[in-house]
Amino acid sequence: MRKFYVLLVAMLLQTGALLAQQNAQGRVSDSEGNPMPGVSISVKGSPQTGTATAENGTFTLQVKSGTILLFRMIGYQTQEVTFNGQSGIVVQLKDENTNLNDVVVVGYGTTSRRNVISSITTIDSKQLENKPVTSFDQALAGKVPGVNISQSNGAPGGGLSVTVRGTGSITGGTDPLYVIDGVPLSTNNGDRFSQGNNNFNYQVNPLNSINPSDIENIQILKDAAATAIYGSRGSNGVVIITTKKGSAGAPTISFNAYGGVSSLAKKVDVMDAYQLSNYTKLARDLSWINKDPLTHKATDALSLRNIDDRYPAYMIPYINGETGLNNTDWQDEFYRKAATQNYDLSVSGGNEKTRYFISANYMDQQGIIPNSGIKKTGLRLNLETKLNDKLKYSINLAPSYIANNLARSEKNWGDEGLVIGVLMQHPQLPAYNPDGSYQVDRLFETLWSGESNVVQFQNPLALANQVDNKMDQYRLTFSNNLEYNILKNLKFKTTLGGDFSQNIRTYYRPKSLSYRTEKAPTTYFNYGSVFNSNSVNILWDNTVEYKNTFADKHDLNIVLGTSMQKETNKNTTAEGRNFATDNVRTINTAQERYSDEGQREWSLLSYFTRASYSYLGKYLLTGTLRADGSSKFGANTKWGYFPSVSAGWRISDEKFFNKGFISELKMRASYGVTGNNDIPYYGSVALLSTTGKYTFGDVVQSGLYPNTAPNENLSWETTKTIDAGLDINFAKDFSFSADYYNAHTTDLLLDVPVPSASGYSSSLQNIGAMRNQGIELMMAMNKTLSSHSNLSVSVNFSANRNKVLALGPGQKQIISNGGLTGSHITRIGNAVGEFYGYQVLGKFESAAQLGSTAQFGKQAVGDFIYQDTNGDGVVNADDRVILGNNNPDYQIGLNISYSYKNFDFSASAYTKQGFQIINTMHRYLAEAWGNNLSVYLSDAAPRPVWGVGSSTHTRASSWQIEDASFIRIRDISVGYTFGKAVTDKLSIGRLRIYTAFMNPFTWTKYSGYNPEVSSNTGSALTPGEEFGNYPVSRTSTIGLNLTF
Amino acid sequence: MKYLFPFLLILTLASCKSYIDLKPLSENSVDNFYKTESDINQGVVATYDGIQTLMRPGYLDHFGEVRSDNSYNFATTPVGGAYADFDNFNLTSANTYLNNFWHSSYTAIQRANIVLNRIDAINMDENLKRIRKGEVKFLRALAYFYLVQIWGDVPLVVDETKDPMSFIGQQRTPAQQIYNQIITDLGEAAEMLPQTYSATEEGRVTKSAADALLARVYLVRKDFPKVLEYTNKVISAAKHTLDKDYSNIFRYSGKSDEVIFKISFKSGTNSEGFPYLNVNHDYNNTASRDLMESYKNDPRLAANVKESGIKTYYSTKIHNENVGADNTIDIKIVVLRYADILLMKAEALNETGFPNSEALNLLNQVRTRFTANQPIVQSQLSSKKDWQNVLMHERRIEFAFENLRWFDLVRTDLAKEVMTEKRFGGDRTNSASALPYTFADRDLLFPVPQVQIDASGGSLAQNPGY
Repeated sequence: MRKFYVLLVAMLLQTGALLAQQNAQGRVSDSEGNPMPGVSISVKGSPQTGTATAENGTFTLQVKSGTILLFRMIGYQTQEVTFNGQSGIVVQLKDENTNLNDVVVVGYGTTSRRNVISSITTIDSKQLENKPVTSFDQALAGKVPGVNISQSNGAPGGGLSVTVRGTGSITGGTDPLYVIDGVPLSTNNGDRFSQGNNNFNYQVNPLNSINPSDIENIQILKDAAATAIYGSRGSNGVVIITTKKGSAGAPTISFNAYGGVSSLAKKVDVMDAYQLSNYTKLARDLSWINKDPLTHKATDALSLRNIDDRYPAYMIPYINGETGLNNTDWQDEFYRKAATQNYDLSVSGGNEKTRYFISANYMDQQGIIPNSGIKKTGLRLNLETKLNDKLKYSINLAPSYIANNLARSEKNWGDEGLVIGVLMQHPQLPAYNPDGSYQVDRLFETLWSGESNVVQFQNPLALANQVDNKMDQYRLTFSNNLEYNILKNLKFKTTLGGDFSQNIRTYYRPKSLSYRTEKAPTTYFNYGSVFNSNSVNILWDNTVEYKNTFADKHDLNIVLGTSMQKETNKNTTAEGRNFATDNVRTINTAQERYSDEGQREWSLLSYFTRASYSYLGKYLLTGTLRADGSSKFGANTKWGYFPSVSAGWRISDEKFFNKGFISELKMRASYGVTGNNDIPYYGSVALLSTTGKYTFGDVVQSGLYPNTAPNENLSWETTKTIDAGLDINFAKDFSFSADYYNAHTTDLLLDVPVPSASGYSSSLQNIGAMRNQGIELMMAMNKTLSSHSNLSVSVNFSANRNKVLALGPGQKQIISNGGLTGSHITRIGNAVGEFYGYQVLGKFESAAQLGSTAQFGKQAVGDFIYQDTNGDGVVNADDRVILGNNNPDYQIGLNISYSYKNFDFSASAYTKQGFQIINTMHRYLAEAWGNNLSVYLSDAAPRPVWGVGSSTHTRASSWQIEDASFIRIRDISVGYTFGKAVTDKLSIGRLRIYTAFMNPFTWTKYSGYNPEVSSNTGSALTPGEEFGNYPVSRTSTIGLNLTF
Repeated sequence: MKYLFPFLLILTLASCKSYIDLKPLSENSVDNFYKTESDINQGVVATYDGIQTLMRPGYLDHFGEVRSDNSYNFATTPVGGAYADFDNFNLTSANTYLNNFWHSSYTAIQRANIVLNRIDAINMDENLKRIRKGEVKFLRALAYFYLVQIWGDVPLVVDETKDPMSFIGQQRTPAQQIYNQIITDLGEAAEMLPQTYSATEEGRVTKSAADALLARVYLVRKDFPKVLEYTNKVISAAKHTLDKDYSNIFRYSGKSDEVIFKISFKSGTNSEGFPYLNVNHDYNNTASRDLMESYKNDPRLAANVKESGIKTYYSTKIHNENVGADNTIDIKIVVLRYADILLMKAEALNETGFPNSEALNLLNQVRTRFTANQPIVQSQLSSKKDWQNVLMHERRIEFAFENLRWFDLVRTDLAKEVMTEKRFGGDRTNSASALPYTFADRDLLFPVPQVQIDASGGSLAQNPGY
């Protein structure tokens, strides 16, 4: 339309009288120096005279000297330039002070914020920079409404839980799809197949390989209208990451560095040596008496009792009240102050033809658990070049090497889980021997000698420091793009992308370290393993884009495309036991050796299209359709179709709208169908297990049997989403947007429990349904307070409600086991994975009360009174009730940045309110076996009982449920940018120094390390369980940003 | 023309149908299996493996021994636990081990059903085909026999499962029908099976095994003439004798003619061994004081029970000092042996006519295998009841830790009387458990696992009292 107008003007000009005129020539660029085509240039006071800039931003116009030229472009501030015959006019157009022209990356294309009619949140690089995080998702917490990011684990480089608009699946994946520079990443890179078997599993965040400071911006696509173009991978939301590009001009070199220290943010309250000694005595006495109440007495000598009912001799002085005895705080002994350092160097620049961005990164982040941490080294090359007028080639190449030093944290005591092991250590015992070596085997010896049955956990300092537990990750992500402008309005683009990775996992438990059933030098528990996995993920996308404007009014944009993607994963394991020495730890020196191998692959073939139409920029309509064929789908359901439609109305552009207080008002609505294909690779096929071996004579013969039932109808999970939203810019500096969504998911993949009489315990079926609905609000302000101070504040609010609508045939609920049996329930009408168990009403205070109150089995005074829900006079499994859930009622994020002269300040905080945690640490930290939680000394606690796996502590109840609502200051940073006087002297462009704090404050009633904890990440059925996760740390850093 | 170029590229993709047709890379699938003799042989091996699971610690031992007065759960705590609940008659339907046994029994049955469904279509030696059928029929019957004794009515499944979802809503089949199926299967198996195998195939089901199991089934059914018929068949087949060395019966490496059917666990490779639980041996299945006292001076005590380092008493039948590289041990779990044939026959003779000198003779054959034991003489037995007491005592100390005691108590209707007498708990001479308990009538059967009831959509009924 604009061009047409300009053309018309030009034609008029040619016929007009052109006397005493000169050639005004020049170039128009945006604030970053990129040439701007299509900028309208006219003469002030003579609107008919004018032209428009060419593709390279240049213009020529014949005008009289002294004429005032007006440069206009929608979304930019109009500029006036007086022409006095100067040559080479350089005009730089500034953005209008709104976000309307921000480029928003959508699936297979881009658009401007003005035209967005789906729900997309953009995060720019400023919000990611200079944070001591190993992956960008850690920096997003609290910044995006509708996205629940939980740092469930505090390990350097440990996995996060990220869900977009609630939990979208019960058994399938719930992670969003990550697309970096057009290449969907291998999201399964963090699973066991790629990172090692469960026994020594530790999930490392697959996003660690992306250097946060390489990121230009991140788009979070939330509704179906935005994600349906990703078809069977769109249901859980899509996160599109765009990395930095160079811009034309002299090279910019920037160097960023920071260093800092992390420490344990909070301690768990456990008993001290005196408390524990008395508590243990009480528990063991009670146990002894209970074995034979008629004859046994608390005063019976330990020698009369069996091992279970004795307490260790070293507790006796404490019980006798001797003072000044050893009282170790194992958390103080164990957790360390850990150093972090990070260096980024980047060079970017280019000319009109070729632009580049090159960066290098090194990060070394130690963990607060000894001998844990992550070291990352990464490079990036982003290069873009115009081969000729029609052909453009670009390449993004990002190799990385990550050395993870792992700590086995999320495991119970039996698997040598360090976090729980530290808490269980007896405080009577010292951490070190007088000679400085680790005190080892004391608890083992106490048991082995028959002195007393106590927790069989090695000194955790010895375990953490002497066990090798590493994973080296090599990864290369790349994309090659070739763009061909077939016609002015028709563009073809082909992308060949890939994600190659290799993980090498090594584990070694030394001979010199006793195991609880084997004294050093160990043979069987002198164990080592090497796990190698590689993944090859190759993608080939082709798109044709047609873009045109008709009759000045109708804007049309059509994209047609195809995509092929295939991923192959392979792993091999070598394990050994009984090594010759601890000096050489390779498997070849082991006496016993085993090996294993696994392979899997999936492929996806897709066709997709999007058509966007806008009438006068006011009425916007977009439709998309994708067809996905996947190897994961059953023979009868090979292809899925995923349509979407969205519409928007920019009311503020209507003639009747009076742009005053409100400068922009857009209403939008969308509907779409998306899928979740994160389902088992071969779920539709009946697979045979080879573990059916049996021995005849003396020879083991192989036996095969089917361990899964076939389902040829197995398919993706389907989500139909309605979204309605509103975007407003008002009072010049404010913007507001609101969204309501309702996502109805059907065909949920459920391992439906079937009667074992079938020979199977479950059958994989697309059978469940659930709904997520919620609202998201975001308000932002960006105000220039004075010429040297600026304040921007953004607040976001979101609330999601998840409700299970259907399960298997006749199935009302799924009860799942976390660390405690039956601790979670997924019941129709409630949210997925709620907490389940017995409601504790109080304690039995007297024998009379025992007689008159319903009991669970045979209870005693001091035991919990559980609610007899159905009133049948006994407490049993039928009396369990829903006790809470891990889904926040709402979450709020607050981000502030303020600058005053050379100082800048920023802070972000978020809160999640109205949710609970099940603290399964009670299972082990309450048994008078190892150390116990201090809460067991309180009046509310039941009488002391001792017993490994005793049913009091393995019974999920309201006793273990805690309110986890919290407010967390995520980060604070204060910086100072040196003035020109300094930088000029040093001949540098910019120098800023800053100090930053990560997780400096958290306010919560939760008694564990971290209210965002979840031990079972990856399982929607058992969320929000605390089972001794790697504690979250608090980090302080200082750093500098330097630009040449 | 050149504008068409990209569209052509796009179209070429459409022909890549095979691109999304991927077969599993490192797993076999049912589609291309069960075609050859070797395939079906592996299906049969897997059926033995299914039965082997039932013999692992935490399975049959908890029903046959821990439940009874023979053994108890040393790891019992003052408030019980999932294992201890078997011992203390405190079982709830939520008990994991209860469900483990139910589930594993039916997976073994399903493996048998697959073989029986597929074997007829396979081109293989007809004689071998008959033997294979006989083996899995026996194994299926064995699994059902445990199920019916433990739970009474249980679902009867004799076909290969095509759609597991179709089992939702299925009900329990009356015990009578289960017994009918067991008897039919064993009868057919006895017709199909050989008496012996070559050394490399030793351990497969024999004809005598099928007859011996039938005798035991009829004993439970109190059909004493049939017990006589089938014990006589085993005796007259003359393939088995009493082993002079009692310990040799249970020694993994020992070849013993006394063993009629056993389940082997071979340590060292492939996780095929018997789990080695603890330096102090199996805490969960420890000889009770009551059992040890009951031996009096019988030398079989020393042959059966040993003291551990922490003063618990474990059975040598399920323990072996040589721990393999995979932390397992070589064990054979004896399911049927000749001494049982003799004692079953003795019992049946006594039930059909007291006094019976042949019965006494049979009992004494077993008893005096240890020369230190004096034979019982008729004058010591004044009534049928006396004789039953002697026989039950003999069975108890002869077969302790062979998973027979609880079923013997139930089938002879003695369970309530015996278990009530020993209910006090603690370290007393006549205590069957670590904790005091109350025995109720419901305890004769076990509760149906809640997991199963839930999975059936509520169609599986619970046993009374639970």
